[in-house]
Amino acid sequence: MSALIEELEARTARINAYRPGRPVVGEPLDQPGKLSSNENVYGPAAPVLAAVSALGPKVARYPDSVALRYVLAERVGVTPDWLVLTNGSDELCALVAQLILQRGHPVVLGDPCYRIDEIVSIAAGAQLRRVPLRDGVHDLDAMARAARGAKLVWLPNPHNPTGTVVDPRSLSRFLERVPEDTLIVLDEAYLDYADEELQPPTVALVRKHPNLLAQRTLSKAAGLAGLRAGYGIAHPRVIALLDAVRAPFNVNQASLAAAAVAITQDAYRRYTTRLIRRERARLEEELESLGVRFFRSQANFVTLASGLATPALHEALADEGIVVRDGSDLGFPGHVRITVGAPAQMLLVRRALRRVFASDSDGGTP
Amino acid sequence: MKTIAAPNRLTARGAVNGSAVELGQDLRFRFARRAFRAPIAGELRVRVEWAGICGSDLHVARTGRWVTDWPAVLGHEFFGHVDAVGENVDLAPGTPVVADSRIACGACAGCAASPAECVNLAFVGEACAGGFATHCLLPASSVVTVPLDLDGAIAALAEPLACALHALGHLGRVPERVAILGHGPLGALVHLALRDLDDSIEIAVAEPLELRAELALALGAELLPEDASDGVFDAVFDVAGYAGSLGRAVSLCAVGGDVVVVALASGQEKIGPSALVEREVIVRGSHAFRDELPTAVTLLASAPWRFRPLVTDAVELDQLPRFLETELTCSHGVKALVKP
Repeated sequence: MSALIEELEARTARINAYRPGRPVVGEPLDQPGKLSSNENVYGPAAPVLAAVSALGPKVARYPDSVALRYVLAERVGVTPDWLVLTNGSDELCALVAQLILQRGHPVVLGDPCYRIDEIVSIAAGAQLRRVPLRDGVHDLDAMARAARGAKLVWLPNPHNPTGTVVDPRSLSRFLERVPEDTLIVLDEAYLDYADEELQPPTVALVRKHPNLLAQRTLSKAAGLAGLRAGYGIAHPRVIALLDAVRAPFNVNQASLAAAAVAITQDAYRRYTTRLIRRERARLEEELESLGVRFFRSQANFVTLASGLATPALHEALADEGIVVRDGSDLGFPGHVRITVGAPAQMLLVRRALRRVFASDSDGGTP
Repeated sequence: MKTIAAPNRLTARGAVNGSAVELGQDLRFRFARRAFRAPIAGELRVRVEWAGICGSDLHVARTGRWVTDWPAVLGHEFFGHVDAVGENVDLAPGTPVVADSRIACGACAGCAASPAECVNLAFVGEACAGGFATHCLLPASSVVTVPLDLDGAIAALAEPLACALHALGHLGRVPERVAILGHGPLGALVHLALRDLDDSIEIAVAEPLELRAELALALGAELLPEDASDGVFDAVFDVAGYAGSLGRAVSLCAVGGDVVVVALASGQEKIGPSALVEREVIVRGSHAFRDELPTAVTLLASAPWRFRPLVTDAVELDQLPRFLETELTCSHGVKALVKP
């Protein structure tokens, strides 16, 4: 037993355990000041909450995800065999790693990267090929070169924690270059917040590239972070493999009920996404006027280079009842990631930024 | 941890230095420094945290109407913390409160029965300095306490929500189909209040501004087409007050339906009596609110997330003059809040 434990401890020693975003102590019930985890401050539409409230005795029954799979597939524009439902998008990361990776298998990811991608890869014993971002954006040329002989490429687009995107044409060229024996996981968690012209034709790309797995979540724009509902879109042979290894009841009744309604609430999602984009633009305008370096974002967060001012910024934000994410939690020290929230809270964010940076002037975007 | 702001440095006799946005008789807004005196017996002083901009504030800014206290400090929808109290006031400093915007004259026949029956009702911001300021002095009876865990930016919606609830109170029955003319802040609150009343109510909205129309759709309404048929809706709320809106409201109303007029249109309207007679339409005006303010606070506290999508803008007090100038030309959002 002890040798086993020692081996596992050695394998996971490299894992820097994920530290979730902190809540705000003593804050209002629905935590509008918590801007640390990229949650949707508007939450889901009212009919979604009503669906969860109406569950009643269903909670005593094992969940059946077939109906949702059919409905979701139709909305996405595929048949159900091109779709797998997961317990949050993070479960898909774990399934992919479990299915594909063995000790020593090369995995390509950006540097910095989405932490869960890194953690599941290390836990599988994979060899990480970290490709530094260029100006906060995935360096697709370098990633394509690094992908030779690799089993897997993790590609969050928009990137977390920078919020940048690769343009659709560059993405298409990248997909052509990556060997077909390398699986590419295209994480589109934040894509709803990207400008339309920067959103790739994902389903068409998945149909064209059998080694492409698109990863989506209902945690962000659909407002269901607390219910853990996500899905993947890929060639049926890939989906069948994922289905074979996933837990049979991996999406619970509440998540199924909520997701079934949430995916129909297009007008609500459009409106709340529009509000987030408005506030994102206001935040970026403020950062620019203060001369603070930041990454121009296509997500529901903005990451700025806070450097030595990081502690002062956290304190100034805390004084306003705001908690954000320190870059050191995200493998990105010297930066702060601010989730874009409601107008009232974002005014307080801008106030805190002015308090800290108003006397500084040091360049524009990183 | 968020802390309640400490009182500003006191000047002589308990006054505090602060600031306000003043509207002059030239109908120009100015950011100004002001001293706010200590409250007298029965009064309290509120440290304003969030104040909502109402359509009536814009109407005052355009016309100077209703103001009796110049220069005016508008703002009658606001949340804050009690900053100081006069004698005989039970509320402790630090208590979170929202303002009751109404000021009864105390002298009319209506007031003899109840302040709520006052026929000369005036409002904070017009008859006395209001919430577009760091502080506001109010009678202690003119505030309602708010739960500690309610986001102040949501609490600031209490007064207009009370107006929306009061408007719904005029309905003779629970309607099946409702039209709302105008989906600004008050129209949107009427919308949400209707959903609370009965989630199966079919709601159609007429609203020309894009973001407001998008909100209506987001909350589950349909958009009312220009050529919508007459006599279809059990109830119509006129929250728009444009030329012809009242006539349109009446024409949209089904037999025995209710028209509730909330908007204060400035012009005159022609309505053919036959429309009222033949369909037995009841037209009721709805002015401010009666006893709905505590209920509004309770509703906001029970589900603040439902109301958060209404707030589309937040502006610093010293930026308010410029913001209002833009709003007076063309409003782009739904509800705007001011942060002193």
